[in-house]
Amino acid sequence: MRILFLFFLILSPLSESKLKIEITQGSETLPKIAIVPFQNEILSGRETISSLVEANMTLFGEFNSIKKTEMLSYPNSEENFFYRDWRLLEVDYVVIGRVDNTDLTNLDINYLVFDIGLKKIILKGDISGNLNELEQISKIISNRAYQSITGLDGVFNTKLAYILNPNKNSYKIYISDIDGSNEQLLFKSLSPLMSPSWSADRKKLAYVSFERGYPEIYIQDLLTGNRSSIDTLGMSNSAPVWSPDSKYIAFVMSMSGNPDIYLYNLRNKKISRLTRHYGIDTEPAWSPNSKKLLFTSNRSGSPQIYELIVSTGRIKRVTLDGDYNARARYFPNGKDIVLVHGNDGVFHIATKNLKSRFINSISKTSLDESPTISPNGNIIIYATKKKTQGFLAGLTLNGKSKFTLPVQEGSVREPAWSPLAN
Amino acid sequence: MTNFSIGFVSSIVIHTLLFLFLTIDLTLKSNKKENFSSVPIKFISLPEEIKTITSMPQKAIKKLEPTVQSLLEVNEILNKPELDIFAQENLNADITASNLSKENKEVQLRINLIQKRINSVWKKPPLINQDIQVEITINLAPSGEILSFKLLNSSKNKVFDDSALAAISNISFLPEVINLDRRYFEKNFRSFNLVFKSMGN
Repeated sequence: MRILFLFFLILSPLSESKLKIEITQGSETLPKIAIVPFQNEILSGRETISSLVEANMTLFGEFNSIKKTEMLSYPNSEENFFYRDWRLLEVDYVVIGRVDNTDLTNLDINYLVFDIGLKKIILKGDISGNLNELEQISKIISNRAYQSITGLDGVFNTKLAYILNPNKNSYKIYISDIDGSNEQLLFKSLSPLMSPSWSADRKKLAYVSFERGYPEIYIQDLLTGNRSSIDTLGMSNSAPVWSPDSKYIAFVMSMSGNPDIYLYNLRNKKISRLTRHYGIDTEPAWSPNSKKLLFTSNRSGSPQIYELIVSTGRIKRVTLDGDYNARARYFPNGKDIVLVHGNDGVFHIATKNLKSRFINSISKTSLDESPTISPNGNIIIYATKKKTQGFLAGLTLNGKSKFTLPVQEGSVREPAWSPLAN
Repeated sequence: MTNFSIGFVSSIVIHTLLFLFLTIDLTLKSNKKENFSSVPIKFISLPEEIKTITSMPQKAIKKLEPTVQSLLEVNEILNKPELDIFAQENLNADITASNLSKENKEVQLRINLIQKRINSVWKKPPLINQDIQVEITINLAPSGEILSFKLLNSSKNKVFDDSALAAISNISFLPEVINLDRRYFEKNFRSFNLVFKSMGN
């Protein structure tokens, strides 16, 4: 028998095909993260850095965090960090840190991120600032920790623009931090406001206002509050979207009752026409490289998504399946899109690769919900309603977590996620 | 007297045969014991699945069935007395097939259980319609201990590679292979590859 074993041992490396086991699904449970209280982090009654970072990391339901009371130790440096303590708690990632200089005008914060599975440090960082910047500092630490863990950009210091419609004759545009805090009123009107869109530098917002009785596109400077309308010939303008290279605003205009896609050149203020069709062309969305546009058109009889190359005007149909496909947006990779996909009266938020035919539904939705994608492409936020109360809901792309964001009174509509801060 | 001597001789022969038979059987048994005792079984208890899953679809058996049937049909048509010979052949074929299928069955069962275990600990990182995969070689001891593992083919996405490596280092044991026949273990699980895929089911 021993000889036989030996024979197998010799034979096994020679055999051509080694056993291959495929793993595709992965765990249903979320990665577990521990944010250890930072050393010297209690500063004149402010919220602690670790609790701010924890709130950020768990904001979109991408991680489960463990309570500080469950932790076996509070390490604050590499020397007193023991991997086994965290493995016992089945933690995947740990963030530790300390405030070295407690002079309140010049805080010096060092932090580390550990990968418990790999038993190694995946991020060493330090940041300085004063006490009033604590919230911003925590967002930057969260962004960097998130990036080191997921490989995606952190979006904790991005912003959200949205429209509030508290009652029939009141419309307001708000800007808030992505967690719903620090709301600022940008503009209010007795007439409808629609379709907010961010400029790439996050300094301006374009939107539609009915203040003069018909839809017009306004550009508002967020620092000064100055606003001006785009001069166009048509009587009905809508759906402005800022190109990522900040050169154009694509929008929809009806010259003779038929909406088409137009381009507004922000430098020379000239307008050029992009689509000519008797069908309705609407909801333009820029590709990340500013060379292509997605739009919705009913030219085939039902709403479908089309892609247009801006320089040549060439148009290609993108969606083939389903009797309703609309509100498409590119992912940051430029190769995938998110859209509202409907078939037989059932609507889903769905993703699709531009090269494949397959549409991948991720969440059931209702028709009037317009999704906005996070700049890192991993999270989708949409406005929805529970009875009469509107709120913002979101989900991660893997479908593992859903969350809601708090907003003020009234019905919230058309959220627009800002680009990343530079 | 003759009857008595015949009885005496035959009883000696029968006893000798019985003795030989028993000793051979015992040596066989003791041999087996030796083999199994050389496998260091550790304190880990087996998951219940191993006990409960008893019937697995077996390709080898399924393939065999039509041949048996067709042979029987041929016999019926020819109506020959050689039917018994065919039956004997079928029996032999059945034995080898069941030996083969036993290995398949045992190995496939372990594959399923290993897949299940690794799926339960692998925290797949967020990826948007990216079709990538990472291949990792694992060297296993018969006790189920992961002796070593290394990256064979990278996905070229560091976070994705790391997630797979972290999953394996979080396990450190694959007790699924403990009570597997040593030959099957050496052939299949001594060194094998895990392919972590971002897409597909």
